[in-house]
Amino acid sequence: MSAESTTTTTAPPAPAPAPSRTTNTRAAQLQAFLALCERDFWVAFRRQLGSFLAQTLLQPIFYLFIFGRVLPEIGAAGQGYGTLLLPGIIALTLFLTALQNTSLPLVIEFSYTKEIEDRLLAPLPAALIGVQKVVVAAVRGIVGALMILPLAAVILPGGVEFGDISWLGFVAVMLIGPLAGAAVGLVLGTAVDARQINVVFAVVLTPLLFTGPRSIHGRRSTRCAGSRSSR
Amino acid sequence: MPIIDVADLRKRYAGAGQEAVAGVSFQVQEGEVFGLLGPNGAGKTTTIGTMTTRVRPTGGHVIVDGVDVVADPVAAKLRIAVVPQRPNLDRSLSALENLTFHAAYFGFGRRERNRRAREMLARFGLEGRGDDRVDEYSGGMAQRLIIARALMHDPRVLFLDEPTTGLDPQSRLFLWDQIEQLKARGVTLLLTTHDMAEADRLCDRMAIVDHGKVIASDTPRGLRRLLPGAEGLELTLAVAQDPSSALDALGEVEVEPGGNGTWKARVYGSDVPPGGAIAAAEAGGARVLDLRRIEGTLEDVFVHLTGRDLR
Repeated sequence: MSAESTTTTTAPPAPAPAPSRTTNTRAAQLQAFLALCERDFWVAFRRQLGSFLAQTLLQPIFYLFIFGRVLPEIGAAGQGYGTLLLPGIIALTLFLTALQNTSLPLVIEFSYTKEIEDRLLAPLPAALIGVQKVVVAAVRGIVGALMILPLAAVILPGGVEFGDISWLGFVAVMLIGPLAGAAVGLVLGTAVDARQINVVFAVVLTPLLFTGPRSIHGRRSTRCAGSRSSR
Repeated sequence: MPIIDVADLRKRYAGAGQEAVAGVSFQVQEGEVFGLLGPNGAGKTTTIGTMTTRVRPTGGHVIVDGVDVVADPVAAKLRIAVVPQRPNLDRSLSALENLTFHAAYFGFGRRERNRRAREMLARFGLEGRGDDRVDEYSGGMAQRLIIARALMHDPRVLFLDEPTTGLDPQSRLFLWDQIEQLKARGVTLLLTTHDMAEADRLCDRMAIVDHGKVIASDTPRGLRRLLPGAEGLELTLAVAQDPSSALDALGEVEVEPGGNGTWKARVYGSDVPPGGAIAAAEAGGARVLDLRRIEGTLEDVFVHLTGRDLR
């Protein structure tokens, strides 16, 4: 209340330059947004490419190899299990990569390195800094998921076939999955105390692992999953 | 018109019974070095946090360079830079990249930011260390890099939150020189510190904050005057016997023998004339060996105003 009344009393000298100032900051906000993205991509895809690849791809590769190739070959799963598995692995990678790439950096930036304090001084609103982190993490998820396709073509006995895929659904999942994951990560990364993040990960991720991401399979594979589980 | 205008600033953190900042007001003129002093937990960091758009106040207003920091934080951020209490360098980047990306956030073109970054590295004695990871930097080097980063976008106002805490004497002297150079260039500086010698040396004016309020605000000299009975002259005299009777007329006198036929005499008062003191001493048969003005230290003033209780 008092803030409003005092600002209005000091407002009179301000209005004249105000319009130009707003347009100026709009350009500055866009530049800052792009520069922050550039920094994050530089770090992810140039500086720490090895760790990005390991973090994103190691788990899917093992899933595909063990469940999609080894189990069918020893007769512990049906021959078509790989084709059923692949959409799930892609969805999981989309969601989890994005989630981890907002939540973990934020937890560290808030507690240990305090880097967030510097980001918050960049000339853009705090909300846009959050949006920027979501966008970057989502892109990382998408890049990781797309890299799984050629790997799967090599690993799975049946290769990758798009058959009767719904392309609209595929693109929608490729976009919405990582954005949702990154947004959940943003909430976890900002709201959860650093000392508790491992507990929260276990509590939040385990149910997600077996419910959320797997339910956003393509139509065909969901149907397969249904028929498979009823077997 | 002051470049910083803080009026009745208030902040109560959610769930806190007491206001961390309870009505702080002060103004800083352009080109000044302004010090914010106070014990731990006095509200300095919250005050700076509000002025730098990172803490949303619960009352009052802060105008920096004509911009209301609450109403238009982005415009405010374009005008200020902050040197934080704890290093917050980007650990994924090299030292040079820390500077160039910072300039990129503020819209500088590629060529311009590379030129400025190299210039800054040279100016802060980090030449040849630009490609090092910042993890490998010593505390002093990290601090220099943080200041270099803050200056990359030519801020009008630079905030330094306890800038010399934990630095070695060389780094501290270097920092003091840099602060004086910045002042000479017309940058307005606002710093918080516990180090009274530092505040005394650097600040044009300062405010002492305690329990979320400004309890005194003046020049260092003006603040020292707040200490009762701490001003006057100290004379070292070569004289056979107690010289107090000769000096009595000038003010309250305190004497002690200094050995080898000398005495130290202190005459208290804010306007004891040195010439008169010498004349009076010589009239009393003493030879004046030394004369100096005594002033209370800022540390004395600080403890006098804020008390001795631990926070």
